[in-house]
Amino acid sequence: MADLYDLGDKPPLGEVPKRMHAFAVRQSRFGQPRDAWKREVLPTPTIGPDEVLVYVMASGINYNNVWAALGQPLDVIAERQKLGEPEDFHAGGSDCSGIVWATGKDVKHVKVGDEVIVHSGWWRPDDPWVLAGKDPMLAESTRIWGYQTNYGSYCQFARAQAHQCIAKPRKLTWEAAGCFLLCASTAYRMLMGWAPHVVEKGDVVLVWGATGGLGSLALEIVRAEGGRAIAVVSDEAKRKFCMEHGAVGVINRSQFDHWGPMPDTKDVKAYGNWAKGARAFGKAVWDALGERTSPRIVFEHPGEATLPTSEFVCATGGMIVICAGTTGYNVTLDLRYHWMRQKRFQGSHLSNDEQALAVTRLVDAGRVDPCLSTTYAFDDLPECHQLMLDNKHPYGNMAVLVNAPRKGLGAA
Amino acid sequence: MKALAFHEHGGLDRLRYQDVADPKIGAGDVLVRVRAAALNHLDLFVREGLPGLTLPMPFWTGCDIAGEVAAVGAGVRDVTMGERVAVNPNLYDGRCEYCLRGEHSLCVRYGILGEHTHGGLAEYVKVEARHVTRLPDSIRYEDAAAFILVNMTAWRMLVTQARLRAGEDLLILGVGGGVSSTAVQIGKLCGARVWVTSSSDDKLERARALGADECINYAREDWVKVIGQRTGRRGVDVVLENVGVATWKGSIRVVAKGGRIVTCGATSGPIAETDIRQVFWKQLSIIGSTMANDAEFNAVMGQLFAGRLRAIVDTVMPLREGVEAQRRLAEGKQFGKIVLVP
Repeated sequence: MADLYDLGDKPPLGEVPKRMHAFAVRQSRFGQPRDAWKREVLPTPTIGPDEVLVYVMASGINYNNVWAALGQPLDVIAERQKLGEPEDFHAGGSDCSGIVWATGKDVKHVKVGDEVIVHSGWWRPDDPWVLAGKDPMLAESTRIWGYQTNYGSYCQFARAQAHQCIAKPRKLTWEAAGCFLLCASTAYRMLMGWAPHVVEKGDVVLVWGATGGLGSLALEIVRAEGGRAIAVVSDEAKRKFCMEHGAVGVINRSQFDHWGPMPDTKDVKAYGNWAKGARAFGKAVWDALGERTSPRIVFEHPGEATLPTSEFVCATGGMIVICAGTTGYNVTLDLRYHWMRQKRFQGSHLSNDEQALAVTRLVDAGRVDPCLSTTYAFDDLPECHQLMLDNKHPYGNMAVLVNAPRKGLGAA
Repeated sequence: MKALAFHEHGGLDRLRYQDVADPKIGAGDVLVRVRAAALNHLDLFVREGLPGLTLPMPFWTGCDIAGEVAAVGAGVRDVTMGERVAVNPNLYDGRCEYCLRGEHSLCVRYGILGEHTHGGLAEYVKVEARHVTRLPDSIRYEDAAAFILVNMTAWRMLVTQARLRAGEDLLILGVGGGVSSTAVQIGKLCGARVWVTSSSDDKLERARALGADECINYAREDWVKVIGQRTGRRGVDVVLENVGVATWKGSIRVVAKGGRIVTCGATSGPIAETDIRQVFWKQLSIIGSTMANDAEFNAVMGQLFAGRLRAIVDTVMPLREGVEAQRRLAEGKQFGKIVLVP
């Protein structure tokens, strides 16, 4: 056996070469993603008793590895070195499809040769919280795989914990199977993980940023669960995509100008203007829906620019659920809406095994589309992240082929 | 009859103990002879005037009422003359989508008896028959009246909204208030370890007598730091947050991953600057709550009747001294409820 194989050139099943191809970031290259991500040959990682190596066929692209490239807001390499990991590079990637190539001695539920996808919830197996049977996503040791951990899906052989592996949806190509799970599982936990505010038949759900990876999966999940999604987009060209992916109505937010922090409520004029904008937006939701029903769930991720409006338009007794703040983190909450309308503001982060499995089943059953946008070659990986940073990426989820030799393979 | 009424909104000087017309009951109502009525901050707010609230003058407030049935409407069954009762202050239409699912305090036309209709600071009050609850002989009128509103509110906040569980840590900020003080005993009933803060050692002692486990005088100690140290940096599972601006950032810091912050008011102001990274990284729930539905009312009254929760009474005064009583409340001198007896 050779100690390095070309991409797509399979070693004998179960035999692991010493070295592998991977894309990595180094601290000396922190900056624009197109320069920070470089293809390298790295030692293939060894695995612990509860871990597996996955021969990666295709990988999804996520925003967290734009941050990793920038070295902001977190230097993930320095963070890991503080915890005792020796590597001076970040070989990331948080979404993939592939074949299990090696398993640790304690691994039971997957075996060499299994076709899998990998979800990105990582935690220490000896974390007392996890051992107590509680939701591991609230454990101290929880990390995002392929962002806060090394040897992710941009490697020829990715290292993951066995519990992260889920059987690959059989009808999907490698690239479709590898592109969606981080966004889908995050959206699923937001929409289905915070009882009693889970999507029920007929519920109205307002989805911000509806053509992104996260937003498009939210539209799909809301439809699959019987809800009615109203999509918010920033230009008319995105309307058709949203309707095709499950929205019942679309609002173009460029027609409003009250975005940003809520003005001081004592400043009558400024607050009045803001409230006028927020009310008009609420009416736009009703118009898009065709009835005067406000959203029971608001699916938030822009944060600073939109959250005051989300709070305002959310139905009495409803929930605003948030997993990110892509426009900023400082938000003014007017708690009066919270008491008088008994609203809930809920934070959410990634997903646990159960939620990742649940949404994969919806995809497997054909009820949720993975929203694959464009499939790129492995060497396009830096440019994919650059597109994302520049907000020029195609609607939905991008994929890169890793060991899959061309598009369209892997579907049963 | 006599009532503690006002003819126009304003300060304490608008309030007079005076003769007013007796209430007239409809077929579905009962007339309750008020034996005790407890004060809430709501009485002060309504007297001063709330935006959008137009009331028939003269008006008198009073939302926490216990008494005996003095007259019964023609269509009323199951309620008899002379019966000892407590009053559920919920007013709702019973038809909106929220009422249909039993969420009465979310009703699109929700109101509170004594805020939106004439209340219990009078000798008699008109109540819908479905909203009187029989009072066991063992429960005094003063205790029943003192118990209702704050316990409905605190029960919904902790049991329904925050889903407080045995073994969890509950933090109650500013333990002097009516909701906050009774929340101590509800927290203990749920099996939680209860933390309280106050600037008054006296109030902390009262809270300890109700079962509080950890008492912090925030005038002397940095409560965020103390809780961090004593929980091994983990923080608390639930914060009952009725202070607002002055404590909000501390509350967000001190709540553990997966924690819940539940709020029903903000004595220091409602505009809360929030770093949403804390909200999504720690996966926090920030939940607003107001009053309670009928099921929660019945559940918490049942705890009083069974002796598992008790009323916290500050003082009992005659209704004719109601001006003085409202002054005491406005100055925040009380611990627990001020009860007026006609």
